[in-house]
Amino acid sequence: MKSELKVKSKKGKGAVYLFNRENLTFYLLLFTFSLSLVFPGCNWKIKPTYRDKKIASDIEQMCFKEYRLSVRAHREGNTLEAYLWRVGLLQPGRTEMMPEAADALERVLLCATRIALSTDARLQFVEVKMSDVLSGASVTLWRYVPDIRDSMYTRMAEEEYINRLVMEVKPGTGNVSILTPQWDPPLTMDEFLAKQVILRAKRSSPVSIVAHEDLSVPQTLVIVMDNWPAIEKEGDPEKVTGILEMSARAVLRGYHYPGFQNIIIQNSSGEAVRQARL
Amino acid sequence: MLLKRLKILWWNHKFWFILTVILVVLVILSILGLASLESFFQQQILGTLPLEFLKAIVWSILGAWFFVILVYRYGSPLPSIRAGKIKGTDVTVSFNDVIGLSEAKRDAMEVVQLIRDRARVKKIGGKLVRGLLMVGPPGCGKTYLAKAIAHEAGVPFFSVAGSEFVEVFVGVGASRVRKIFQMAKQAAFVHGGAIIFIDELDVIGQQRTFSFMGGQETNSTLNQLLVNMDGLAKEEAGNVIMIGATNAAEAILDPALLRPGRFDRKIMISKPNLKDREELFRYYMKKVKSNPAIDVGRLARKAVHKSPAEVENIVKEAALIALRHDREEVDVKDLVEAMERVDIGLETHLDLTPAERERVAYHESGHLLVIYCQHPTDDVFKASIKTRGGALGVVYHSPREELFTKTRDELFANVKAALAGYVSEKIKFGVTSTGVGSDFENAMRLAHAMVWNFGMGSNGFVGDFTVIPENQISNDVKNRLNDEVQALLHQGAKEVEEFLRKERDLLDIFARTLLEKQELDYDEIEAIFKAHGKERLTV
Repeated sequence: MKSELKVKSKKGKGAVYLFNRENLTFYLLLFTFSLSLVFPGCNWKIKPTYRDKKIASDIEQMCFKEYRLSVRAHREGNTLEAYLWRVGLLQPGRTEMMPEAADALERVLLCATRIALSTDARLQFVEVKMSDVLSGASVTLWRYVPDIRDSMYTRMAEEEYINRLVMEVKPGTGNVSILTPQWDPPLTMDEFLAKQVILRAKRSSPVSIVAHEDLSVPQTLVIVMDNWPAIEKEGDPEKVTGILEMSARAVLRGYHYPGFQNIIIQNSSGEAVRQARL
Repeated sequence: MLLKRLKILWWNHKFWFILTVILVVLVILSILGLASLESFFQQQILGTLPLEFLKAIVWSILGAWFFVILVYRYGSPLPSIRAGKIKGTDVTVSFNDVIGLSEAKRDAMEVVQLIRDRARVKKIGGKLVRGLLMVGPPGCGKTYLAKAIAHEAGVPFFSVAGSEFVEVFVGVGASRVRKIFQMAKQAAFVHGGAIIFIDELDVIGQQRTFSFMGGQETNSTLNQLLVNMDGLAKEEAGNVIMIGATNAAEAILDPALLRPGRFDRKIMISKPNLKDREELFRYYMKKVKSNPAIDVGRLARKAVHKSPAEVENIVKEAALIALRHDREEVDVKDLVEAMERVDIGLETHLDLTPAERERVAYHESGHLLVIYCQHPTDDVFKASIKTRGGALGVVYHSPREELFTKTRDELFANVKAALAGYVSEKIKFGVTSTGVGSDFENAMRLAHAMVWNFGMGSNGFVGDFTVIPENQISNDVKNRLNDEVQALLHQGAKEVEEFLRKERDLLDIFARTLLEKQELDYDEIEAIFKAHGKERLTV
């Protein structure tokens, strides 16, 4: 009887105990949890660190401030281009980059990546180009911005992320223009994917491939094998064209890209050596 | 003032202050850290905040669950109970070392006998003692007696304080109870018996509360203790005896703890009587170098209501005082000074004017004369006009021995003794001072109790009128009772005045001597009275 009475009186005072010190910890936790839901719950946008109009100057400043690299940058449509010169880009007589040049290129690409992630500019590609002031040789890297985001959110394997980097090496022509960077026209998705298909095929092919894309036929990915005689001479041309087709299928499937319906592989004389529906 | 308040606030809420500061610093650092990041990473962190929070909660719950499982399965990882196991033979305290407590010792000896002759008791079907509860004021030798029991019984002795069972985590106290009983059972199995001694049993033995607002830990500890004590009756429990000691009133202990089968025996330990105190003084004075001429009997009379621990403390304090005064041995002066330090406090050296000092001297002399000549039970040990604490003077008196009841005459003597200072001031100066305040308070309280509680008035009222509810007692009765209180006080004042006027010369002598010497001790007071042909009133 005694205990029942006590219980009753406690129940009666329930409202008084609602905000007492014992409950303080609970309310603090509840408050913190609610606060943590506010940002994503209200779809609250944080002010972008790099504003649309200033991204070109931002990348120049960032490269200089953090790596002492003198870079010129340019925004063209959906592509952010960064350009830098270097004395000695490729190793003599080879298409491999000098280690210092590779480091510098990587750093600029990192800066471009950071800017692409934290800007309100509607960027699709970042392009970093390095030219040799002596020979005119150049190395160009392209990254698809959504690939960067997917990588950051770990929605993509690291190997795949590396494979999706497009790199183009152009040997020197001797025609050097130091003061005026040669800005490329904005890259299209078709070009980017075609370059990636060729690059992937080069990596997995047993024989060396020299090829370029031809996008003049609508909805058709045409790849011209510039060293077709050498491939024929070295071994199994069927296998090489097969690798190219497989690369194309893998790339298009990875991007869910509906722009290409067919693939045609041509030899250096313009004859189709393989064609397929994608 | 503000600084002091802030300090108090800091002492009271230190934990919350530190926690708040840490949290604020962490929040500021988090904001600064977040602000230094680029917008993508800011968005990423804020976007994943609910998930991180949820993960933290889930991990906390899992961690707590795992911790509880560990505690229940493998015992507490918290500091375990420090129940000191002492072999009975290692305890050096025997019954001979327990001074006084003759009745308690007799009960304890019986318990020891039961522990030793357990088989014989069982054979004749006698009841085995399972628990022994020692109740008494602090410092009276409960722990000492428990050690003596362990020594005499020659069995392992597990000593633990009640507070060691108390922990913030529910269930830890109970697990410690289980652990100590398990240890005792194992020891009993090996040595043929064991004693568990829980000092300050009231910490865990208080009546259980049944509320939603806590107390579960104490309840569960007590429940476990009850269960384990019940288990002692079983054969497999071995010869384990539980001894509990408390200085709390029995009423606050849980009735379940006191029922037969748990604490079967209760030993009441009271403060030592005159004979015990004499023994105690002799025992402790053997341990210091003291003057053999010290009158131990007088010291024991003076130390009425002192516990053995206090007696020990007085002797040790006296040794320090002797050392301070560069004496080779403790003298009665040192013992008296040590006792006075405890009872009336240290001197405070207030600068009184000569007129004030004279008034205080007469006031205290009045008390002194009345107590010495008219009080049936008390001895005056000291009169002083040195200021101590808030008192300007003091007449230190105490009963010759502990009295458990008081007669009307004794109470009235106290009233008169309290009024003596007032009357003395009136006789000498014609007017009285505020120094009578505390005396009046005492006299009034005593006279009121005599009339209202004990039926000691002269107008025929019998009974305790304070138990009658306020609204059921008439104003007329109240007035008559209060009149009687006043009549008692007047009678007391009148008798004291007659006595002091009669002994006016002696009053002046004592006042002058006090002004001259500031303090008079037992012998000096005795000498003056004897010189004037006066004897202590003894009944």
